[in-house]
Amino acid sequence: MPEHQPSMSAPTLLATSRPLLNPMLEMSANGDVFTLETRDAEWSYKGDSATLMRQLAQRLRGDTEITVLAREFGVSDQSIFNLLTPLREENLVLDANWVGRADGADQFAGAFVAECRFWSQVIYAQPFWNTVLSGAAGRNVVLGWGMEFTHFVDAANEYMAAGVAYCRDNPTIREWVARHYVEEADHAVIFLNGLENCGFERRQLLNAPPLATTRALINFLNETAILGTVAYSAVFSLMQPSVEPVAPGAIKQFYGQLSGQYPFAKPMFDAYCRHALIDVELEHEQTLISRLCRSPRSITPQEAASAVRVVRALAEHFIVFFEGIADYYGCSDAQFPRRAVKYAAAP
Amino acid sequence: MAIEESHAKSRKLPFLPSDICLREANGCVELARDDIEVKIRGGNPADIHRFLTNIDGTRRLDEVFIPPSVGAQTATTLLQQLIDANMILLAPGRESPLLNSADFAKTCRAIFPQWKRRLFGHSLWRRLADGSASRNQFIGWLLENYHFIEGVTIRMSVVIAHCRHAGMRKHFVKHFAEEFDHHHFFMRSLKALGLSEAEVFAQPPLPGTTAVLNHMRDCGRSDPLCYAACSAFLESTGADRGAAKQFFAQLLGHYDNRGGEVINPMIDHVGLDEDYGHAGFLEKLCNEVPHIEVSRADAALQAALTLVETLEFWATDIERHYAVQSPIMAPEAPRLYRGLQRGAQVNA
Repeated sequence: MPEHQPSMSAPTLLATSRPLLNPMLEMSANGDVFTLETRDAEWSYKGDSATLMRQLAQRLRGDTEITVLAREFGVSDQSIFNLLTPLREENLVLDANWVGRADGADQFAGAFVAECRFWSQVIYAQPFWNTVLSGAAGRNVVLGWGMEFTHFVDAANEYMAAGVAYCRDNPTIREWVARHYVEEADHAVIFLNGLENCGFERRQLLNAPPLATTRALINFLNETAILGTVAYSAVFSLMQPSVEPVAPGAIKQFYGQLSGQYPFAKPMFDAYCRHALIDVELEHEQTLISRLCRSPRSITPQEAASAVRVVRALAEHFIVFFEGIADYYGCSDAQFPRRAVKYAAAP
Repeated sequence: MAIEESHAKSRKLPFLPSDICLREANGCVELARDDIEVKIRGGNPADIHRFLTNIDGTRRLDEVFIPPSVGAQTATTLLQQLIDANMILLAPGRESPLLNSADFAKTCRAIFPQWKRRLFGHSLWRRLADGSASRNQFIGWLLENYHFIEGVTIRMSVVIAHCRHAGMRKHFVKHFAEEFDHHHFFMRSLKALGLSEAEVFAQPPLPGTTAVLNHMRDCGRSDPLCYAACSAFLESTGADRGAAKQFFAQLLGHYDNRGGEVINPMIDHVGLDEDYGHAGFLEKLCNEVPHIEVSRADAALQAALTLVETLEFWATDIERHYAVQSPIMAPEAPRLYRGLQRGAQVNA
């Protein structure tokens, strides 16, 4: 099958774009300086730019076109492009209505990657990540994250198997989907081994029921798998938003840092690291949907719109997943590992 | 007869229930449930803690590893004391893989009131009742209720489609026929609040609502008994007519400025459900399958408890989201979910 490489850069904003600003950006004003801040970077605006950005920031909700905003604030479209383009390049601004304008596989692919990167940033700006990365997470939260993530990884045997079962495309595409599943099917063992090496009995780990919020994520993935190949494939673009392989050194450094902050969980983070390196080796950053875009199979406008809806809903479910871990395991009474309810006989 | 011998003879499998909080604290081991606490002093707390976490309903006492510092005699004495205190329960032995499904239904009825109290202890229910929930939270709750009630079409249909037992299936079919159009009650309430049908259809359910529906769909695909246990818990939450009447009266006072047009359809809905007599649904289903495996009973109970946890998340989701967002989204705009509240952030 002939393959061509579509451009993966995000389409530029247009006058008819409806920009959405990352809802997790912190804002502050000091005199005539207005600042937007993430965990890792900040953007400062002065003077007229500060005035405009401060007003704009309240209105960038994905529901108003740039040309309308420009009229509202008495500025040119270009003034707004100048402010938003640098943020867009950092995946902090989403063109919320791009999918209706995407023309062809190339445009879809580039804009879809930008969509996934935007929501990935939103997920990783949630309070759970701020706490964990600062080193302030409690023991149960860290271990609970490992346990719930193990459930999620094992759920590949639910939603990825369903993705194969409901792939009504041709055998070539179904083999891509099947191979992806086969490569992930037994990865939960890596995480179970990691938790066992943290000092827990394997039987207790295997019997621990997932949190309701973990099941919510898994069930959402199960339901998405039934929708068809494009919708199903879309989920992996959010899970792996980088189109280039992450450098092994960067992976080791990231998990090494976490091991240093939470030494009791080092075996667990070793498992995370091992899994991430396996994914790099298997080239899982080359997502199913990018392969579909490079193939002669066309993605219909309805499938494209469905893929975007799936990614936006999946982002919410990942937020729920991490929030649930913090909420449950952050309580002093939280049990780790959790115990399932059992039928009790009469004594 | 020595306690250890009697346990071995009975073959029952001791387990620490899922709702017991077990912890090491202040140099001892504590077991707590609701307002009951048991403290085990003396011995090596870490070893006692480890021993108790291994009491998981899969092994007899003589099969469980007992740390040398605890010893067999102490282990059996401790176990019996915890059984007497209802902190350790007994699962049927491996030689008794089947149980009477009527007993399973009775177990559910015994456990559900405790789970119901836990669920309705959530702050959302208290705040709706005392009027401290905002108007957006009330409308949001009503909107999510609409999606949940309408969602019977996509959850109960799954258990019917996957149920191969004709006797059980006929009860689900009857129940579905009595429920599938009840969303119209909630639409009437929403319209009384000024929402159009198009606006309601355009608002996708929150992840919490989707989670409840998807959990029940998952149960429906897995085992009709799992679905039935969940359904029975849901029915039990609405079974207390007096409490429901009081709750609706409170909502009427706090949120209904349309002389009852908003709340009365929900009261009518509860009345209709009562007329249908769904209260004995689980018992009717169990009657179709006189004996079930213990493992199946365990799975069904866990499914119902997961539903309780999911409903707690549902309440949390409504409370958190509608505290900062309007129930009515702009058409086609992505939902702002758990974003920072913009206006409040900017420090001049």
